[in-house]
Amino acid sequence: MWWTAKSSGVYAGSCEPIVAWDGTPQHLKDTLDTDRDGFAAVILCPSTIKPFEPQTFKDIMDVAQSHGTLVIFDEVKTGFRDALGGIQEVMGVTPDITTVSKAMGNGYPIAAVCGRHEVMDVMPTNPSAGTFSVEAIGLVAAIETLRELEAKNAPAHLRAMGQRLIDGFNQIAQSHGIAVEAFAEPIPQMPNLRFTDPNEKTANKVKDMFFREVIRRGLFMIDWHMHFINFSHQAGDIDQALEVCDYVLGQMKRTL
Amino acid sequence: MTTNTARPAVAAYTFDRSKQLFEQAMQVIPAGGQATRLPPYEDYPTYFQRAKGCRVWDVDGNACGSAAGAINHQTRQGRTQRLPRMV
Repeated sequence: MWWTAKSSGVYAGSCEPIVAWDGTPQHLKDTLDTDRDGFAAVILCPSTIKPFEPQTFKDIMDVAQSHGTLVIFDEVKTGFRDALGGIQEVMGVTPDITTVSKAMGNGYPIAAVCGRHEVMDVMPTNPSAGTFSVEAIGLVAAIETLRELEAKNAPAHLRAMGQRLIDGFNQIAQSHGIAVEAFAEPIPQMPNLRFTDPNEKTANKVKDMFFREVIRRGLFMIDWHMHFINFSHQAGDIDQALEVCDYVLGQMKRTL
Repeated sequence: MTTNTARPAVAAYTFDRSKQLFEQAMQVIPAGGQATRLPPYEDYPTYFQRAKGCRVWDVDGNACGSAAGAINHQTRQGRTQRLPRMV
C-alpha cells in the first residue's frame, strides 16, 4: 500500500478501505477503536514497529486479537535475515498470515503466503490461478536457498557482517568528522546511512557527494534505500568497502 | 575489463556506456527500464553486465563491491549473489 498509494494512476478512493497507523500498539488500539467491528486485519512490516522489541509485538498481537482482527506480517523484506523464522521468531509471536519472498529466492522470483490452517483453508474457495503459476524455477531456487541458509546458519553471519559494517563505518565517519552515521534499520542485516548535519542543505550536499563518490571508487551503494548484507559478504569484503568509505570521507573532508 | 574490486579505484570510474545504453533504451522503454533509480545520474552506473558473489561489473567494465542486495541488480547473465549450485 505504501508504494501503490504514491503511484501515478491510482484512484485515491481505492485506498479508502485502508487506514494507516504509526506502528505503535497505542495508535493501533486508537485506530481499531474508531470502528470496533470494521477492520478485517492488521497488516504490518515488522521492520517498522517501534520500539523494535518483543513487548511491542506482543502488545500489538493482544490489541488485534482483542478487537477480533487477523494479523498479517509482511516479512518480504525481513524474512530469513535475522532468523529463518523471520522477525516473528525473534520477537516470539505468531501472526495469522505471513508473506515472504526476496531472501528465500536468492535473486530468483518467488513469493509465498503462509498462515494457520483456519485462515489458509479459505484459499480453495477463492481460486487464484495464473498462467505462470506452474513456473518452477523460483521454487527450485527457494528449496536450494533455504537448505543453504539453514545448513550454514546464514542469519548469524549476516548479523555479524552487518554489525562489522556499521561499527566500522561509524568509527571512520567520526575520525573524519563528517556528519553521517550508519545504523541498523532495524536489524544490522539491513544497514542504512543517516546524514546528520542539522542544516538540511548541508546534509543533502554531503549525502550527494558521498554516494556519487563511492561508486566512482568501486563501491555500489544506493542513496534512497537501506542496504542488504548477503551471505557472499565476507569480512574481507566489508573491510574493503570500509576502505573505500575511508578514502571517500577523507577526500570529502578536504573539500567541504 | 578491469578486475580490481572494492579497493578505492585509483582512477575514478566513468559511465559512458551506461549512459549511451540508457539513451537508447529511453527511445523504446518507459524510463529506460530503470525502475529503481530515477532520475538517472550521469556519474552512476545504470546497467550491470555480470555478477559474482557480492561483486558486480557494469557495462563500462567497472568492478564494484555491492551492498545493495538485489536492488538495482538485474543482470542479463544471471542474478547477483547467486549460489554456484543453482547456476
